[in-house]
Amino acid sequence: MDTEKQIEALRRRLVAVAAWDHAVRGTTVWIFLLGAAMLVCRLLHYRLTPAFVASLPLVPILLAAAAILAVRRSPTKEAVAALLDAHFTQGGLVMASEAGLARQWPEASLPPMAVQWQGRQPLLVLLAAVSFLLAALWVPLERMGAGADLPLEIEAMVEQLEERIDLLKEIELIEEEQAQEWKTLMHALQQESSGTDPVATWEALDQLEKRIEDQAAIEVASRRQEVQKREELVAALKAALQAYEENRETADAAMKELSTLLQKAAEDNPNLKALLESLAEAGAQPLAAGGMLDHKTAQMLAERLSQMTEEDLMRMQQLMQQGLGQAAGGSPRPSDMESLKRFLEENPGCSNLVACAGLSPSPGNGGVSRGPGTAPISWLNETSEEGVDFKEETLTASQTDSLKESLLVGESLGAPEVDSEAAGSTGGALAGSQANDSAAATYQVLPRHRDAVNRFFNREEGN
Amino acid sequence: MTDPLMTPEELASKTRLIKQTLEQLDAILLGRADLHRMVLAGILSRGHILLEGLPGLGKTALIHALGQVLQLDFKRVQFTPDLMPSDIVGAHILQQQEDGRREMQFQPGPVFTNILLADEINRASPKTQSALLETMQEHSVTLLGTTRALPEPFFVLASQNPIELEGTYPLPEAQLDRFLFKIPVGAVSVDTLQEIIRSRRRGEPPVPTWRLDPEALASLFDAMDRVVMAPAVARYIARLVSATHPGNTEAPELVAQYVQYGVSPRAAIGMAEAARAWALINNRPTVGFEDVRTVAPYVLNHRLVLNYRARFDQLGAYDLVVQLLGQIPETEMELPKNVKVGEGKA
Repeated sequence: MDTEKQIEALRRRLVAVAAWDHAVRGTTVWIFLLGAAMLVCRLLHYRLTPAFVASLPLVPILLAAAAILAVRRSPTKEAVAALLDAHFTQGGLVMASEAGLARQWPEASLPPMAVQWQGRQPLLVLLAAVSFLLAALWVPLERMGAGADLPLEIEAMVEQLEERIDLLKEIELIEEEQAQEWKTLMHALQQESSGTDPVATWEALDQLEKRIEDQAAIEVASRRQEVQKREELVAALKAALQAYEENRETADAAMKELSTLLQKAAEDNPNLKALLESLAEAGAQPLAAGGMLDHKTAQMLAERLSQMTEEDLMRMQQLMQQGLGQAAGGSPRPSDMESLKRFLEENPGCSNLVACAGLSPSPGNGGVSRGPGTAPISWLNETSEEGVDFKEETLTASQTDSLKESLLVGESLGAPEVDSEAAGSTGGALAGSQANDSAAATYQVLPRHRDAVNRFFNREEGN
Repeated sequence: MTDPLMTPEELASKTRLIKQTLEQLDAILLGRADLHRMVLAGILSRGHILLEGLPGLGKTALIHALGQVLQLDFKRVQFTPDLMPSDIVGAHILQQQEDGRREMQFQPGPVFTNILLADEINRASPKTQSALLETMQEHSVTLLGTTRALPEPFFVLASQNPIELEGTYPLPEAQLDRFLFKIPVGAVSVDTLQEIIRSRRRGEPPVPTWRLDPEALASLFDAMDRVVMAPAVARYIARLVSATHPGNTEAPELVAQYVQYGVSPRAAIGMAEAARAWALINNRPTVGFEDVRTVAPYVLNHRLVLNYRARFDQLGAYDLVVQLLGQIPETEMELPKNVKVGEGKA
């Protein structure tokens, strides 16, 4: 082999061995870093597969980088010639041959030169790196207790849920026992969350939060449904009263039958019975069997009905449906509810009452000729607050004192009626006082003003 | 590295002359083959040589024989403490002419020769030693404003005794730097001594049977100019010289520990010339790394200024240079740490 070829061959071998050395070193560093990343992932309970998959493209990149680095650092031909010359003590002839100056001199016959990779230490380090990676992947950290002491910060989530539970309890959407049960469960979760599985804790908290939200949504829906039923019944009764005024003859018969129906309903319903008694005490016409419901009694009945519970309303609705159904179905006493049914049919304004009574359970049966009819509950369109939301009015001082003496007999959704004639004065020293005995007794004149007051009332006419 | 190399035939003729010269020297002074080659390398490099050794080892005889073989004018000066500069370079003396007039006339000193043997140079005063500075560097003598050139070639071959330092004046660094080589002359082997006893009855060296004529010596000097030095070898010399400076970041720990002052660029020039001469003596048209390694200890050892720690550790400059050569790689190739190049199968 001539000198030129030997120089080139040695240069290639040097590049190849250097590339191998760079690759081994780079792989060692990469495996160490991968092991550290795996260890951190395991400690933080991340999934290892994505990290592995993400690291796989690095292998060819690493090898390519090692090759590029070796080529870029490859020695020049002059340097390789100098190396050969120095190693075989050629006295500069190899370098001269490489430079093309020694053509008249015979080619030096050099023995082949070996390029050795002393890889014991790098291989040991590589082995240590692989061992580290395997250890990072397979050592049972859970048994060693690693990560158990990591605190799981769910304090903020627990406080937020507690505030939500307290709010639900405050607006009486949930019971006290239910709130306490949820809080106990939440604190137990907080105590157990310091383990090695934070995902389970977060899932449990999410489920608890969902349960609270569902319960609150159910309660809200129930309340809204109840309020809606009351509104519809009251409106129906008012419409019925209006129809009564317009068609007194038919209405009298209908009200008679309604009175009979109420009496019958009151027999096995103490609440309804108390209702009728309260009507009697309030000065309404006594509801005797077969008696008539006059306008005032019907109006009072509508107000009282709006205060009834849902259970009572359902009972009454059931009885009305029963009675009307008998009238329509040719029962042994068909005339019992015939007038009421005819009255309702003749007065479309009372269709809501019919709907409340369940005579037309579904739209399109002919029972309801207009209006929305029954429809599934939807949360999209909120119920109008018209007729439900109260208009705020400031009570005068005398009215406030009167309320102190009053008794609470019930709550109404209707707007309060203000008796303007009973309003007291609104200005001066006697502000809020009324011109009656109770008002005079309520407001006491201060001692230092008594003389002035006496002089005012005892003055002679003309002064 | 663009000049063409000498052809093998051209080199062979030069090598023949060198070989005959060395054979004469070897025959005159027994058992000193290496010394003869190094001295001849110094002569071919046109450098001055300082021989250091005990009395009776043949230093003077070597220089005398060299003058005879090379057919060069040879003068010897025995340096003593009372030797004056004028005793070396010459002086103006008052001479009466034939017509009765008297005028100052220059009387050349022994320095006006081709080979000056300065025997026991360290016994002369610094003033006298310094008188040699111009002659060694400029090959000329300046006296009373007149500069006179010395005959070419001009060599100073000095000797000094490393013992008996009482009453001596160590050569200053500037003077030492003018010497290309400082060659220690050691004792000869038993076999050589036996041969000396057998062949030299009265201690008289034999007369050389062959002499190198001046034209042949000039052709050898011309051949020196055609010895090619590769850039890598020049770089090696530069790195060696640079590594002798303790302030250099690339200097090995050895230098930082023992060396006070490194060598001058004149040493690098001298080392390159000496390496060329050594390559020529070894029948090569190019300078190799081994030529540099061979001559480096003789070029550098008297130029290095060692510190007191080297004295305490009894480390000489020659040994330090040898160790330094072992620590500076010939090439600057940056191979990975685990990659080694050696003989054998690839």
